[in-house]
Amino acid sequence: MKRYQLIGRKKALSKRATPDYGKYHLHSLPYEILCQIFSNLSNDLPQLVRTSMICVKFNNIINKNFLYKSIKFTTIDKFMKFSEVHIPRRFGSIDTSTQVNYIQCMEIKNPPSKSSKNHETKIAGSYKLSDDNTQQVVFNDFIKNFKTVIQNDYNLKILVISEISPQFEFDSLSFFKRKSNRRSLGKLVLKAQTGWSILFKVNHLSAILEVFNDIHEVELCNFIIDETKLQKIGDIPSTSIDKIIFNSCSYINRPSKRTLCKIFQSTSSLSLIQLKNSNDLSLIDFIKFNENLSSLSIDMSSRIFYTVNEDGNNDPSFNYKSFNPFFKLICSSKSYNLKHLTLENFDLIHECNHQSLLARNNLLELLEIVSPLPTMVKIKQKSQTCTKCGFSKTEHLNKDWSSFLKSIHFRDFTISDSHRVIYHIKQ
Amino acid sequence: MSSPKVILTSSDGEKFPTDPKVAEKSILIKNMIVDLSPDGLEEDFEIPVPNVRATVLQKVLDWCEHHKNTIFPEDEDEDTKKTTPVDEWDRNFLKVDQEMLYEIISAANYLNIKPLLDAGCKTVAEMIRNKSPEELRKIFNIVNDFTPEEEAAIRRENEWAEDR
Repeated sequence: MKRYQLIGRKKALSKRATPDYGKYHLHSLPYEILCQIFSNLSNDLPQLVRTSMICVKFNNIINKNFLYKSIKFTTIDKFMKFSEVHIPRRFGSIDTSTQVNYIQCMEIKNPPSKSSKNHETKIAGSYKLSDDNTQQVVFNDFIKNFKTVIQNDYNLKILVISEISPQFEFDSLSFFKRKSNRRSLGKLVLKAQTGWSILFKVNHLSAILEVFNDIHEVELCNFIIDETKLQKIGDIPSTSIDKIIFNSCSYINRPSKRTLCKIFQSTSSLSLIQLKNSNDLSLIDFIKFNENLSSLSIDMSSRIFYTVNEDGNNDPSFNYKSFNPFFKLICSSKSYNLKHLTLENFDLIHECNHQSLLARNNLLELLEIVSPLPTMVKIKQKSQTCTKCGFSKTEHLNKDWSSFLKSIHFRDFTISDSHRVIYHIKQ
Repeated sequence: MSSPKVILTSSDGEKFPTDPKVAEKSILIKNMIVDLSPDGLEEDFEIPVPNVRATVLQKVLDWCEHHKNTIFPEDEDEDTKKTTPVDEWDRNFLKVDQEMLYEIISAANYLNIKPLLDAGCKTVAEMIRNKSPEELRKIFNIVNDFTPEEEAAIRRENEWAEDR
């Protein structure tokens, strides 16, 4: 008769005896209390490492909940040092450590760029970046290790690549590299190098798209979105990006004939943060062309929405003249199915006479414009201080908004969040 | 006639008649009172606390008595919580032997007294801070259950994190 052994040999043999410490001993405290104790050390990583070396139990708790849960590689050397130990390559095969699977949030700062003779940077002259073989080796090793980590870490939820240089990009997309199993990533953040606005290319995402089919949220910080160039990308593996956040991004090059941008073909939510130029509002048209856009969030504190008063003082006023027609257009457009509009950081106190809370006619008009949206209007407010006279209001904010909105068009709503002012307009 | 009390009974049978305002520092007890006497206490209300010894329960009630009028912030973010030092009175209150400290922490966890649990956990974290693994094993009387090979491997695995 055949017999099968179903448990791993290594694990079966490695059971170790734990001394009996008694009920009231640090070692015997429940898992969640030990986590709470160690969480007080989470800002002191060297101490966490030392504590993890006390015993096996503490090592497991600290590795899983603190040391490896959220990792920030501030230099590529650190990432390489990590890779050397945690994704060793032996005789051509890769055996990732258990810790790789503990990573839920990973940030890589300043990823190396490919060596290329064309890479020159012009700032008040011409500077050739180091493009020798070493740079190519570092890049190749980085890409290999980066892909191994994201392929083998099944718990990865947030991936941040920051301080991206203008020269950085992954290799071109390959259809055949993606494995058949569907993988999802919660959030991907790409941040350009401080002081730069860099052109967004599909190769900023390629290595990530080879692994993940679904990315819930992508945030691009300080990128230039060239619609004409993005239209020209070839076929890409089927990928779903639910939400795109353009943070301080610029829009350029509207094509003469607009076609669907494959990367954002299924995007249903768009958020615009820190708009720099009114032209950047064209990002809405760019995304809504997919006919899936149903949620739009606009950072109302962006300077493009305000005009400086005639007397020249720094008292910006909301430019209703220009933007009421704009909101009318986006809220009444039949070409797409906008259901949720979020006006982020919209300062009611500044826009109203706060003593009586009587709105200016223009604000009334704006609110009436947005009111026909089918399901919801959200209005959040961060600032509660009047920029004109310094009047500060911290209490009864919900009450004020309620009485204010009730008196005009918004009769049927509920307040769903006590910390922010959010109104759901019922059908 | 004196106002009704909450009678807490420890695991070893000792009874602690307690003012409801003091006892309600424990969310567990507060919820029990609300659930079982929604119109407020009309008579003494006995609650067994089977997981807590009398000496520990007395300490916990001392803490509740001292903080009966303290309003603890509820919506502090995690970073603020971690960086706020333990209150001076709590620090002195928790200057007890280790076994008593862990019993207080366990009781605070069971009775759902979050500020006491936070203070206890912070106190243990302070005992850990700035010490080597050897010192920590000695202080907390914990046996090193790593093999020398495992210890060397852990050192290697965490090298990247040490200068983070």
